[in-house]
Amino acid sequence: MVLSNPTYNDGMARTALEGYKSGNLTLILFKPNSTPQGTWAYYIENTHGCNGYLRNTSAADGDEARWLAYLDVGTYMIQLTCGKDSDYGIVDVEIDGVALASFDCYAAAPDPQSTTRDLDNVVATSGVKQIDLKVNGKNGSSTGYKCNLSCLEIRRQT
Amino acid sequence: MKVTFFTPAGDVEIDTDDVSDEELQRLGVSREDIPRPVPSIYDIEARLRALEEKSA
Repeated sequence: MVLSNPTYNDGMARTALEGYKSGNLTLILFKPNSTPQGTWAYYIENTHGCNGYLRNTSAADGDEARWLAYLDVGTYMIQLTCGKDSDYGIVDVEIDGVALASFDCYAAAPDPQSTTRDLDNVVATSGVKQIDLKVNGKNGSSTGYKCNLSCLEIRRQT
Repeated sequence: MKVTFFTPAGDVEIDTDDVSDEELQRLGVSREDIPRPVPSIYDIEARLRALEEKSA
């Protein structure tokens, strides 16, 4: 693939690599690059965000799915669209093994497409990152560790 | 119909018309809760490969 230098309206010269800095990342969670723990499958279901969700069918604490993507140094908003229910766990977003944002997927009544955001998450170095969604415990009211994950958005704040 | 599960040991593909209860139990799903096959349009890697082959 040949990448040409993009044109910028600030007049600054950039290399092709700089031009393709990552500032916004949207992952439709159809297929992880790997699954360090648990068994996962994608369910087509049009009542959920993005018409489906990735579920940990193993439904165990510590279940983990991993994606690889490039991120630049910066401060990011992390937004997770997922299902919530009475037997769902807490899902952490980890970047290179560091937990940045945490999303409690418990709800007393089913909510198939909840969207929650977490601000001011710092990525200290640029590069290809391991982005993990990991079940990390559960709400005291929850009866299980399930998660139904539809979409992860990582958007640059600064 | 073929359905794929993602596991630490790699992808496991099952035939929904010919899968044992033991295998389903190992994968953590009941027969009523087997996911439906995902349309090929979701397979970004396959679409990228097709584009590369087309442009080669």
